[in-house]
Amino acid sequence: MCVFYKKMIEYLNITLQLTVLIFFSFFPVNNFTANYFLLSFKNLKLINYFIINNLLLIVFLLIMSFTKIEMIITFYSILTFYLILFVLSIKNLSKYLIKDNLLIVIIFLLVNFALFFDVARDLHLAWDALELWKVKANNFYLGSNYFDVNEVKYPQYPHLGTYIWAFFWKSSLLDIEYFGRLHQTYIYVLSLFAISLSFKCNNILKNFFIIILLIVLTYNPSLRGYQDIYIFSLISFFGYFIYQKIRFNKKINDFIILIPIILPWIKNEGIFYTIFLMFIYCILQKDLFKRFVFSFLVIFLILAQFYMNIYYFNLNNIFQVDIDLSNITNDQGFLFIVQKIYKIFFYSAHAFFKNPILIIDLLIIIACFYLTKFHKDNLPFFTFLAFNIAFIFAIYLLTPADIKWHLQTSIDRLLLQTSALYIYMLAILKDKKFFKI
Amino acid sequence: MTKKNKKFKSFFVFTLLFLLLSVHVNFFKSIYLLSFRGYDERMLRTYGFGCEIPNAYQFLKRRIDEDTREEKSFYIHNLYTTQRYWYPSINSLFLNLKIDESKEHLILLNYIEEYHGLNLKNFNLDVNLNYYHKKPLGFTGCAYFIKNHWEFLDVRIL
Repeated sequence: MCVFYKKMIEYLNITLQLTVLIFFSFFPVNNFTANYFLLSFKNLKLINYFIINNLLLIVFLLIMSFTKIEMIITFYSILTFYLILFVLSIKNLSKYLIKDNLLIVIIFLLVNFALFFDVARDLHLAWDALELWKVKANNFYLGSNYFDVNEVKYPQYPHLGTYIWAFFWKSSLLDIEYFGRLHQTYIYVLSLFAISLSFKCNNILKNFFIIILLIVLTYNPSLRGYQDIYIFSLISFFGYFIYQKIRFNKKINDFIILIPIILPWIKNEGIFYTIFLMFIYCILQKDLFKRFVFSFLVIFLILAQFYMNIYYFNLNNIFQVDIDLSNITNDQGFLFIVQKIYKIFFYSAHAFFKNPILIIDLLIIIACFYLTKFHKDNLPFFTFLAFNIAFIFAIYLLTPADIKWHLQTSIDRLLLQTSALYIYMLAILKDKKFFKI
Repeated sequence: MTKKNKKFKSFFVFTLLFLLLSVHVNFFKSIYLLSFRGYDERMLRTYGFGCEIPNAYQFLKRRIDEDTREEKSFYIHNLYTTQRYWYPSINSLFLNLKIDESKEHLILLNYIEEYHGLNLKNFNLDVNLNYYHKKPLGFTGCAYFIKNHWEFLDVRIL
């Protein structure tokens, strides 16, 4: 009986963790609390609220990571605040969740459980996760903040993903590290739902099919503990906001700005993605004031990040390798550059087979170009594609490290990070009635 | 198609899709393994029993758990993985582990005395085991050494 109880307690805790994650996704902004905040938030879809609330939570945790406040206090403060909001909205909550969104909620729970159990079963962590990210997570778990970098190998590396890892690890009832990683899986599932629900289908089973297809194409257990999934999910959320703006021809949701704020604190390449996304945001945002203020805010935060790295850690190497133009202009001949470009293409092709979503992306991009040319609706996605290609070539041409090693160990992840964005182009094609589901 | 048939068809498709997902993410396997293997056993199976190559997780865990010092500091050197950079170190799996740079408490993983000898300079470790005493732990292929301070004593006597 005791053994049975011991086994069951892990299931119960996984269920409790999922309940906490859903609870944190439902507040502070939802259809009911919007009455107390801003009316413009009313009548959004459940998925919109989930995305917005998760972004708000991540930004809040980013702020907390610079303070000395203990994680447990932060956790219970959030919980208490949300419980108050829960009491305010309890009347309509059951109706909203059970009556209006029952099937989608069931599917959401099932998919989360399936992936959570897989994470719990396979405790293997990948190379970077063990050598780098877990060390940082341990540091936060033991009560350190951003400025305490005792025995951390690369203190200049962005910390937010590992802070979230430690936060949910610390707040779980069982003292087990993988509970912290469940948040990453949860955000990943949420991003897949965002993509799937962009395809307006008459039957929810078709959306379920799209979700399963996306899991088959993108779920990669060899990335356990890596931060790339956060980047993948956040870029997917950005695509979702852009798609909503295009589809309903309305103003772009202001919460989109949280994504470029978060990205640089997850991984180094997030800094570049932020710049690309802000460029797209500036194209789409018609309000000059918002365009200026938000761009200024994001640039200021990136500069602040650079400054803090250099000032607190006395480190000039923000990135893993020295990015120096002399790497391609000095002693390397033209033939060497051609060889490098060939290798980039070769390993990119290899990455396409490793992550089949990239093959789907390529087909979507070709179809979009063939059917709609450079239609203005596709422009944000094509702009990002152009930036991303330039970025990938720039990294590998400038790297002082052995290019073969560098490509083998990173290009598949780099390509996967941005792969979700292009799926929205397919949703746009569907809206233009080029095909039916 | 009647309403009943439609419902059945939907339920059938839903089940089929869920089975597809289950197969891809090992859902049933996970339920089975979570039911029959606790967290500690899953960790052992992932990172190695005893002194199993490459990580010798069980040995490390037992050594660190049984250490009664307030600050659990060890210098851990894995003779198998240091020559194979593609294997990561698993030190980060142990929360309170501190690296003992003075090498007072030395843990050698995948160490075979007959093969590696007592002077480990050729194995990327500037240590002479003549200045250490070995703690018997009953694991073949792993060893725990504590530094003697006799060398200073010897100098004084001389």
